[in-house]
Amino acid sequence: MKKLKPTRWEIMAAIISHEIKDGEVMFLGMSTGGITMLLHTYVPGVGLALARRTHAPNCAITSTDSPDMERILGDNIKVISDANIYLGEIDIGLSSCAQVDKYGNQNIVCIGGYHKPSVRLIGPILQPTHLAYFRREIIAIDHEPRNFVDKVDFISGVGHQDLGSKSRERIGLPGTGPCMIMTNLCVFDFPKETRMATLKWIYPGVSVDEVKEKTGFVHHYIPSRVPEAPLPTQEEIRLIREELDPDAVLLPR
Amino acid sequence: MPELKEKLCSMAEAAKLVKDGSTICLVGRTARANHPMAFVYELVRQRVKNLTIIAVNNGLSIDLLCGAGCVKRVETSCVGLEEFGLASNFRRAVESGEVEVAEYPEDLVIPRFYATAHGLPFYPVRGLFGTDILKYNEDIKEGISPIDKKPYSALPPAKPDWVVMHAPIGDTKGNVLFFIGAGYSPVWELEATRCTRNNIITVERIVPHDQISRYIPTQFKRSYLPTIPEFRTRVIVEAPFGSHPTSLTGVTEADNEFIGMYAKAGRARLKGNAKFWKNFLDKYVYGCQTHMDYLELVGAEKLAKLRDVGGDLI
Repeated sequence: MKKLKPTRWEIMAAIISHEIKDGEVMFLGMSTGGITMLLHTYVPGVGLALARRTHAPNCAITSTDSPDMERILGDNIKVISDANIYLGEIDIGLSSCAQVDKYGNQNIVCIGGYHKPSVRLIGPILQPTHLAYFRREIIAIDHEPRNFVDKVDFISGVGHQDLGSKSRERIGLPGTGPCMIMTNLCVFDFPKETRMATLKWIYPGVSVDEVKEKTGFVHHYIPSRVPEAPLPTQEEIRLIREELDPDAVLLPR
Repeated sequence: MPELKEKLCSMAEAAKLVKDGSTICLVGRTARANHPMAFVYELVRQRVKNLTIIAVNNGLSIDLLCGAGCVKRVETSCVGLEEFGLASNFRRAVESGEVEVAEYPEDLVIPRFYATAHGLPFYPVRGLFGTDILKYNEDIKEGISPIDKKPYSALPPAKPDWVVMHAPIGDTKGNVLFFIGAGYSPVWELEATRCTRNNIITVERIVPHDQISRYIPTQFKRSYLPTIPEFRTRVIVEAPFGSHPTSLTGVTEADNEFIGMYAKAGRARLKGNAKFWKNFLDKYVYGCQTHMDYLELVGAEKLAKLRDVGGDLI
């Protein structure tokens, strides 16, 4: 049988699937369409379905904001309501933003100064609460230089501070903050020692130079040698293509 | 026993209650669900100025009021048009400094109404530490809890002069019912109506007072939520398709074609071409004397298509 080659979206869905432990509850935020919808709703939705079909049959999602996705994934996802955010009942959140910095602070409020900004964005929505209370957060974002800045113009989602691993606890936030920035090129994580975004994996066909070029924050968080992201197994690819998203409506092929 | 007061009035009379400089809470959710648009259009027609608007999360109604120069301040978590992009009129107004914003996360707008409804001086929360919301929203104060000796942020109670809501059905005395739609119930928004008796309610249909009770059980197999009791309703107005172009859960769908046209006009103005936006206001707002004139413009064919009949009707 011919070996199946995963698409970039399938690689990302599998990374999210592997991040989810059995019994965990995921929360997707509001999406606006286009690539945000793909990164921030469809990829994690398929990731959750994949986790349920493989190693985490009891994981669930609180809502998806996408009736289309719920219809396509059907019983492969489980939607629950009434998880208590404030008592840590959400394990993994997904958020996107206009700016993220090296500590994982996020901004969806404004570009430029707060008063008379150069661009007024939509506003904080639920992002402050995601980053305060969810046990961990995956930041899913389009990889453009303007999205990766040294310092965000407005902190609407709190990342890690420059105090290391205890910084969030010290300011009184119960969640552990961002665990991953996932883009269409690569994945950053936040190692315990520094809590600074560090390039962890690149997808096949992406070079470290391309990531450097498209990452607006300081490059020394990018090691010289970065491994390729772990690829989904043949069975995982088959599940996505034959059972979860047979018509490629969610993840373009 | 004196007869209960009739609350029915015209849209123009209802909108006249809102004076320049008032604070109003616009009930509605996300960019285009359940906004009291017919009322909002009438506010624009009456050229109300310097409004402060409180909303959970919003899009179309705040953007329109910003675009017509009616707004001084907005207190909410979000103003956007979803797949139609940023809310251009709101953007222009905030970027120019004409409108100021008090930022609140989506889940911390309704607690401000709890505080008011429970007669509390503030509502304590602990999810804002480290955000710039604390830096720029001067109405949120820091405190130390006398119980556990740890810090909290104190949200100010919401004190709207008026709460405005569009609902499916009500009676002439101001009792109002809502559908509980699939995946949606207006419980958040109803908290806003509980903090005041100054509720301005527009409904798709007015029924006589002695008939509203028959809608309370599941007459059409849909669940109705008895929402606003008559004593909390100041006035009630009949406005069929009164949420157009936004949706009304279980009744009408959003008119995405219209919203696309609207978003385009706002974007053109943001880019310096004010003509399209002026044309929009002249045609759909100032050019209509009443809500019925507006519906005529939108057209029967379009409105018929927006009817949501996919529910559980017998």
